[in-house]
Amino acid sequence: MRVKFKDSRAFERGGKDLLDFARAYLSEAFPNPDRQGCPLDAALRSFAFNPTQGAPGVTEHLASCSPCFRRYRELLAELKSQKEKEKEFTWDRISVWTKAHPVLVGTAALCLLLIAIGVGFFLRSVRQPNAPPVETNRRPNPSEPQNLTVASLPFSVDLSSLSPVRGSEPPTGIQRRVLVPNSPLDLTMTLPLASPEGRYDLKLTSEGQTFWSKSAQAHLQKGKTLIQVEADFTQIGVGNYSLEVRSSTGIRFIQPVSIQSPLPTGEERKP
Amino acid sequence: MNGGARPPNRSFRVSPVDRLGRTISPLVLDAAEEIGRRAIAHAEKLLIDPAVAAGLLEEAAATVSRALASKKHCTQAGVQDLPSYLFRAFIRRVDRIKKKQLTQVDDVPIPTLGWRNSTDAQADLEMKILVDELLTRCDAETRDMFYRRIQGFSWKEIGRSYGISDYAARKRFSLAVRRIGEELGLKSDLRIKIIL
Repeated sequence: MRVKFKDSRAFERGGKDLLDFARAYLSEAFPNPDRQGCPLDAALRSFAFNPTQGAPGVTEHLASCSPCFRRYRELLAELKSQKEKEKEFTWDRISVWTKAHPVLVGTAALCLLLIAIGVGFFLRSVRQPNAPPVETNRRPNPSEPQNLTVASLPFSVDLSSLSPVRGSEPPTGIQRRVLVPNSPLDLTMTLPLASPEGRYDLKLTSEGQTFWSKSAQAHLQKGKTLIQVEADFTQIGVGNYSLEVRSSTGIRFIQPVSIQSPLPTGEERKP
Repeated sequence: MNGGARPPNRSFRVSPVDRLGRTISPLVLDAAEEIGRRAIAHAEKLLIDPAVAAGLLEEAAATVSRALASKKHCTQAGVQDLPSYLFRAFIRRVDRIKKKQLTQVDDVPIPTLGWRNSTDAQADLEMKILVDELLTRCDAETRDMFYRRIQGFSWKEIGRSYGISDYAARKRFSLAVRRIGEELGLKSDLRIKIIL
């Protein structure tokens, strides 16, 4: 016998819908008040808990007997909760065992920790096979020769007392020469009051020759116009120079400086 | 469950010959008389005349008798529970009649299946037929997998019950469902997402 579906609505519906329907249908549609042909409860239980060993005829009966189907569902629910309890029980046992054997657990944890550390070191060496060790925040050893190329020295130059020089005219007045160490500097220059923010060109010149130049941005901080720039003067020879700061509008400030050997670490010179 | 089987109520009588003149074996006749009242009550819920239902039961009983006698398609060993097997054979005939009524006559009354709250009676009827076909055509293992899915078991749990992987359980079930879908006349490429 073939029952053909003209449309496939039943199949196209979601699975949950069909399962809900089947649950209600099999639970209600086949009343059997006289319990005709019903298997024993033990047979149902056996099949629910161990379907490979139970009598397969039970499934045939369940399809046409609602009381047995309901009972089978109860047994399946019991089985499910039992399995969940077993799972919880396993965790409980693990917990009890760890409490009963703290030394073993501690040893195991220590072993795991050591393994993790070992793996960490191994991975580190694999990732950086030839990389030299990087020293950070290390205090300088007085016995070692100081390597001043490692960090920039903070250094401030106050240009606030300078008068602007326009065009190519030479600076007027006598200016005090500032001593500058020939080392990498974290240079902060304070421009004269009301100097505009913006781009400035910095140059270190001597007798018309430029020894160092850089472009930097000036910012207003607490009413002062500051230029902060990293300047490496290690290659500049000891001697007298002019530090020239030139704005995009053509205003120049020229500060005479004297490049000298490095100063002791941590000492900051101001003009 | 209240202690399992009770003595059958034999107040319902089934003719030993169906309307086509085919004889019903005593074994099957006994089973038909056992399930007779329940079978007629089930058909009545679907608005099928009790006389028609009785004829369908006799027809099912005669077919099952012939099948058991031939031992070709269905041996006694294959039929685990004869009354239940006969009941399902009867339900399939009821479903076929009902489906025919729905497809051939437009204004046929569609029974409201009182098993759940639904607004689409025809869709429910089709779903009932699908569930009936699934339960009748598949083997005991697939049927039990279906029961377990109904109860909210995951495929992992079902697989563990049968000592197989969740994938194997799902695959076995989906193949059975697909085969039934094809036998029901649904296109094989139709994505059968039910129950899976």
